[in-house]
Amino acid sequence: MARIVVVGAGFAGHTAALYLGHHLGKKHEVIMVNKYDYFGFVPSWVWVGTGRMDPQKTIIPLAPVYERMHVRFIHGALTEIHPESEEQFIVVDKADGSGTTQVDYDYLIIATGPYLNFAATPGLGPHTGNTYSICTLDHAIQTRDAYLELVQRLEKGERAKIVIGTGHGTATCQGAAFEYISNIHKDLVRRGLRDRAELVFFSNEPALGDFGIRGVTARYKGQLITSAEFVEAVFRDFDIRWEIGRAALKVEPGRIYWEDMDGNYGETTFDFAMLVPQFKGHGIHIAVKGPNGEDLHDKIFNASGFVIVDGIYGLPYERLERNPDAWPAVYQNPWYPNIFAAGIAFAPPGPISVPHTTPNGTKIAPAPPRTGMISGIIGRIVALNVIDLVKKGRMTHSERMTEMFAACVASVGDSLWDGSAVVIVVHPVVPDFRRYPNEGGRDLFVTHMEMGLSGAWMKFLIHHTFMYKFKGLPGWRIIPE
Amino acid sequence: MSTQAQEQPTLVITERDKFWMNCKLYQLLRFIILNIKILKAVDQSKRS
Repeated sequence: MARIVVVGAGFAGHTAALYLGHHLGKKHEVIMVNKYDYFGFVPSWVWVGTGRMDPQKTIIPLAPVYERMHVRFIHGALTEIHPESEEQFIVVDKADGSGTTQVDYDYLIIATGPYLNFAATPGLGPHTGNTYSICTLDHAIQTRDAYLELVQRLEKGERAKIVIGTGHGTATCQGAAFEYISNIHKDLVRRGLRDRAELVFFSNEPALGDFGIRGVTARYKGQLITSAEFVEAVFRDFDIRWEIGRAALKVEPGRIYWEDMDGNYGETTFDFAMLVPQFKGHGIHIAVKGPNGEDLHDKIFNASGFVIVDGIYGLPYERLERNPDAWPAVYQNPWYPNIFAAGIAFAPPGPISVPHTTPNGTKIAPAPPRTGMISGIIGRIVALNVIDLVKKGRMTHSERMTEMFAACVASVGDSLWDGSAVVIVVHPVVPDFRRYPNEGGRDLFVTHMEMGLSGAWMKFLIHHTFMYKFKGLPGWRIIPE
Repeated sequence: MSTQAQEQPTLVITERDKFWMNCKLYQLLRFIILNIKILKAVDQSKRS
């Protein structure tokens, strides 16, 4: 009997656990370790952050799902990995405060998601009271409360400057920031307060619409346009000002200190700000020990705490962008073949967007997004390979981000009658200039951008079908990741 | 580089565009097309 341990019940880990439970749960032991006892549907937290969705509608208690899927659930956080012991095991710090427990494994899937590194930008983050975040449910609720308080001030006739975007030169998730500012715009229009608020999109992207994936080129109204032109048109229509190519260096109450790509320093003031922090991997807090207590951390995690997998690391960007095979295919650790990573936890071989270093040495390079659909797909690939290894002894599945399809739906409000959403479909996620020798390096038939009410319906559909899927209810497997 | 461009925008969302963006019948058609396109792309993608 094999014992498979998944750590992290986000999009990647939870997807993996569902597949593993379904295929192996009855004959083998599948264990999920997660520090929360619920699954959170992160894409809907933009609606929580504007007070348009009840937080309870975005979460699923894990225990009943795993009981049905034959997965054992341990509520706690991974603190140590012992990959070279005779019985390989991890140490979990239990959430109930009863201490640690040792969990043996034959296969280990690390899907711990991002560590929100607010500390990389002094003064950033909800704990400082300067800026807000929608990266966790608690943060989204805190942001909602602060936003609704701001709305009350606007109703009394005050004016305010709202800044939404990224809080570090190497932050990712610009799409979430785009969606949040669009939802704030729509909410203020609905409340008749839009003229009292100045909205500013503040980002580390080299161009609008870069989204950390080097932008998108697609057909729109019969002509080829870039996501920069598309997002610019949307922002002009919404009267949202933008400040891009900027690395937030420090935040003080009501003020962001930044450096731009030319090395100029400046300040942006605000009354309310939601800035996404730099993401690191949770590996920075996980010890990896050998049988005699030796430190093996470097064999599993890189310096940023992400799991080293089967990618080609260390290539300069000019070579990486021409080498689609540098991106990992099976997300397997090269030192320990029974350890895999899924979702944000895996270390990408480099950025997708063109990186930039300012004359002062500050790195402005959006990190590659590995959230949502991408995480789910990787979770499925890893789970199917582990199932293969248990049943057949060899892996038969692979999918690089240079082969992967992804759809992103960024809502503008939540109304099914007069709402809207920007829908961006890309294939592949990471441009492959060998396979698609055009300017964008992507399949121009599949890659697509549009905006309209149908996108709002799509977002609604995604929320409900995915919540259904993640509950592991009948037919969950036919719903794509 | 870093702030709102001053030059003439290349793409503008017109009132006509907005009409079609909220025209229920047309958007129903777009919704169906979008779903077919996404399902086809999911199918074409490796989905190994």
